[in-house]
Amino acid sequence: MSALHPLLRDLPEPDPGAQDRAWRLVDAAYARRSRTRRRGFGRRLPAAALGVAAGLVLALTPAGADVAHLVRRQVAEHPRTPPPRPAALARLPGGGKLLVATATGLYTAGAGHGVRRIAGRTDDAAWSAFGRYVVTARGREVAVSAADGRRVWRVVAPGPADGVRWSPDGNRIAYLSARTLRVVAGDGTGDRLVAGVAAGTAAPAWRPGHGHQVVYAATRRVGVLVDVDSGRPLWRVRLPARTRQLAWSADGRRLLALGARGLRSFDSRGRTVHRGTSAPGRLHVAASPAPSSHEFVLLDRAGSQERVSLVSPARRGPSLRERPLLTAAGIGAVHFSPDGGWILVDWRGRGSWLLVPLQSHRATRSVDRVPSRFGNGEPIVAGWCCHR
Amino acid sequence: MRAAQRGDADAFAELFRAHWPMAHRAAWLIVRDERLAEDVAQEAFIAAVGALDRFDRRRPFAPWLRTIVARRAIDAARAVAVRREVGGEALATLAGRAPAALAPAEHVLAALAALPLDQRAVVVLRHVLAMPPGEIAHALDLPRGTVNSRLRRGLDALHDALEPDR
Repeated sequence: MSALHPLLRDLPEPDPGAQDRAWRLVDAAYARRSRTRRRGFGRRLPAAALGVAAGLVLALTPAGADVAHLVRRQVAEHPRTPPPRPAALARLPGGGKLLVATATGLYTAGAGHGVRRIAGRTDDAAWSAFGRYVVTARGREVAVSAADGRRVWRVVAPGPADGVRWSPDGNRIAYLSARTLRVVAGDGTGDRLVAGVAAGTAAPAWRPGHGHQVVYAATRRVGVLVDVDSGRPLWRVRLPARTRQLAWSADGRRLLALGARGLRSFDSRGRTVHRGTSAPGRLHVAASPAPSSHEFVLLDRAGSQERVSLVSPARRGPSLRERPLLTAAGIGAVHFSPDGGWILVDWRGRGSWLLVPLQSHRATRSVDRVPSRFGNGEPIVAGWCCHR
Repeated sequence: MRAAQRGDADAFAELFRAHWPMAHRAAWLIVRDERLAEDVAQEAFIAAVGALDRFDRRRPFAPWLRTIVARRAIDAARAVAVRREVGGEALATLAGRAPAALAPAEHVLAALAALPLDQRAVVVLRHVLAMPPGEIAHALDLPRGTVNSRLRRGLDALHDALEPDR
């Protein structure tokens, strides 16, 4: 058995290309560390102070001054509105924790800790229902990791995977791959095809409180609600052109379909409840449903200016009421907080997040220098989970 | 190591080149999955970069990195073992093939892949990463006697698989 040692040490490298791929990421991590050291962190501050300064509490910078001006001017439309206060990533206003994807990795923030890198680069990611696990898509791989990054399982899809979404009960995961909708059980078993989908369509959306029903875009203009366990289609709806997003209300009674210019909502039987088009020159960008009502926050764009609005269904009739919250250039996404009290505005043009309260007595919070908190990638909030 | 800690990129690149092949190979032999092994080794290096400032420069780099790789690979292998995996099971497939159909290196891989995880991990750490039993015990948080017994059982099983007629 003394011959075993050289035999094992001389085994061929499993994948010679892996070294180059890994080096790009490892080198980037080393370069970030070096930049941080050059800025003077690490040597002058004790570790505890560094943790606070770098990971938890973010002071207002010149960008923050812009935020203050914007908020004073637009959020509350009141001259005495206080400037935004720095937000703590360890304890987010609105509770829960964020899942943030960048080109350099997948990160979590909140729930009592600062920023943690839990995985490498992903093409898409989503929280599990209770935030204990994360599902990711990267190339053809769909993988589930624990919230601390420990890999639990993975499956290999027939083609590049995208649109990974975890069912509200945690027992199913839907994803898109090779122009099909597929479903796999929460423990990684039973990966199977459910239906064909149009190319480049919106991610599927699980219906809360109704078993394993998921809505998906079967073609560019047809949405289908299907029970994935039986494979039975329950109803079909006419989607707005260029549907970008499908989202259910938290009670599973309203489906929002957001198109580039059109917007429709449907009731639990697939009947159209609201139908609208954007104002001339405006394009819808994204929407995020409230966690405890039929309201949603809408991001739309006119030229280089984005606008964030809170949209509420009228008490009677099919109309929608829009309450503009703020307008600025470079807003990339909006997200409702798990407790329904805050809206995260991803102001990518400034590298900042604004946390806008929906109750007027609260002050807006800001998180500045967001990219530097998440490995200097371009952070995209993939999910905000969960209200307990 | 000192130069890499000071921010010398060339020194760090040298460290990476020197230690990547062994880290990657060890992760692969433990987790039995190429892509997962790549992730494990890559994340071990990134973790090492993150902890570079805390590293005691009087100590050698290799044992420190080996411990990170070993722990991460075993965690990953355990997680995979309790779930059904689809794809990427090249080593597991080798374990089921007839010995006559295998090249010598594949023969070793097949025998290794057939070992239970607890024995396979200890054999890889000892004979691929060249970790002393005491270091393995520390890395895996196991009594040294347990490491020795797992190593003995693993080597005996490999002996039977590789030299069945003796």
